[in-house]
Amino acid sequence: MRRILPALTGLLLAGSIALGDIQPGSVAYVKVADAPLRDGTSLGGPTLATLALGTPVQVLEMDRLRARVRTQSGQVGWITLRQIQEKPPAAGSSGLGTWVREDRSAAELGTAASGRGLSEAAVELARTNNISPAVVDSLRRQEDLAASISARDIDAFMREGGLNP
Amino acid sequence: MKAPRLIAPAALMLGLALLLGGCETTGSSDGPLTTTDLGGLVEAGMIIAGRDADEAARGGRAAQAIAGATTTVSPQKERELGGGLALQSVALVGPVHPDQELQRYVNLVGRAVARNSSRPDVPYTFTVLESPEINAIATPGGYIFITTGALRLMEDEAELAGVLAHEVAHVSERHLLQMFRRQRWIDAALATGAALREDAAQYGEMVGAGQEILLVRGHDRNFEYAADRQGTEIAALAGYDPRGLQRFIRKMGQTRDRPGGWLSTHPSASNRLDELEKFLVTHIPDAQGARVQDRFRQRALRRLDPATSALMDDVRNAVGTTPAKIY
Repeated sequence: MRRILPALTGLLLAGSIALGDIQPGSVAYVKVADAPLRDGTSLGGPTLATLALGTPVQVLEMDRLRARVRTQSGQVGWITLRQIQEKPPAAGSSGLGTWVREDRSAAELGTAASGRGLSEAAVELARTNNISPAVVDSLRRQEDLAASISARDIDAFMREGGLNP
Repeated sequence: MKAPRLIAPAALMLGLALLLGGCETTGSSDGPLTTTDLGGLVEAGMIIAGRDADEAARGGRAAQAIAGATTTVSPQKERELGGGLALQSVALVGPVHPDQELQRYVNLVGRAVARNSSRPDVPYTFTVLESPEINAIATPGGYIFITTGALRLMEDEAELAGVLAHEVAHVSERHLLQMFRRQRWIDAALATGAALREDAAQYGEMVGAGQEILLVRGHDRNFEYAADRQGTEIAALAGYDPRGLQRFIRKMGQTRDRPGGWLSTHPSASNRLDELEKFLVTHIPDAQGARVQDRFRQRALRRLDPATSALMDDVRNAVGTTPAKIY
């Protein structure tokens, strides 16, 4: 798993991962809000740290799914290739905020602050198609349930199951 | 997920996923592919891991031909489209299961794998639907459904994680949006700044087209294989046994009594198993991870049918076949 592959080969073998020019020796940037940096003992090994959106990392080596990187503070670990990119993310281009800031009609959402909520168009279409209001309500309850689950809840759930938060 | 019996709703979801999957290719469809082109195409989900460069390039060109533009779809439009598809799916597949503890459990499993995806920030909403079909569906914007029929086929949390991760991959890679790019009018409508709600008739047609893909025709098979691979990967990243999805697909393939659902909208189970095995051998050779059997039984199976589940536990205990290891 830790074989060092030429950058292009790594890119092709990475399947649906868009790597751009990421290769050993290059600098890459975290493209999601919270990216786990793992110890690398297995694909889903223990998490050493959580890297914030836009964090620059030095790529030390790559395998087919991950890169071993060093942070500016000197911490070394493995990160999935799906969560880094070649260029710094544009301001507001990722993270939960994207769902609100880029959404010019966010105010229409039932819970606009989280970017959740069925749109007026969806509810109106359901009405047109004679879908019961109870169906709409049931899905709204599911959205509320999902919104009530915090990152801390997920961490605790994963630890309880012997997983790697 | 493509369980054996996903019915039309599953196909619908798949279609939606494709619709949302607009890639942001920047290159021309003519001339040599640049690394940027390739990256965008790879993101389009057209390249199968482990294939050679030529095939990758061909896949890229195909994706570009389909995309044909530099359109991007805003998260808002993705969610707006997905909401319509989600409501149609509930209406067509089955009602939302009333047990909120079960729903919370499935959301926790789904979020655990989604945080390792390429788009962990999508407001994923996981929902168990009451239906004997073996099916799982994902719409753009993160509405993901799994039927009680699919849950009953599972034996541990790693299988559930694998199936949910497959659906997360459809969403995070915008597979349905990419499928929609083949329908130019939809692509054009999604590219404009106008909110979808401003043309109700057009919005209804879009949702109908998505339904057809998710519940009837299914996604492009390459998207399905890609979702199997990525789902397996992100479940493993969470610490789950990477073979959970594979086990589920195998069981699904052996189910013949329930038509529709995953089996009807996805490539054959044998082809999926072959593709997945290649991926596992080459990409996750040192596979290890948790299956989490007891928690799945207690928080999922037992809640589907409390009396039957308790009886089965009693029988297992009586004959001494209950697995000693919980996770």
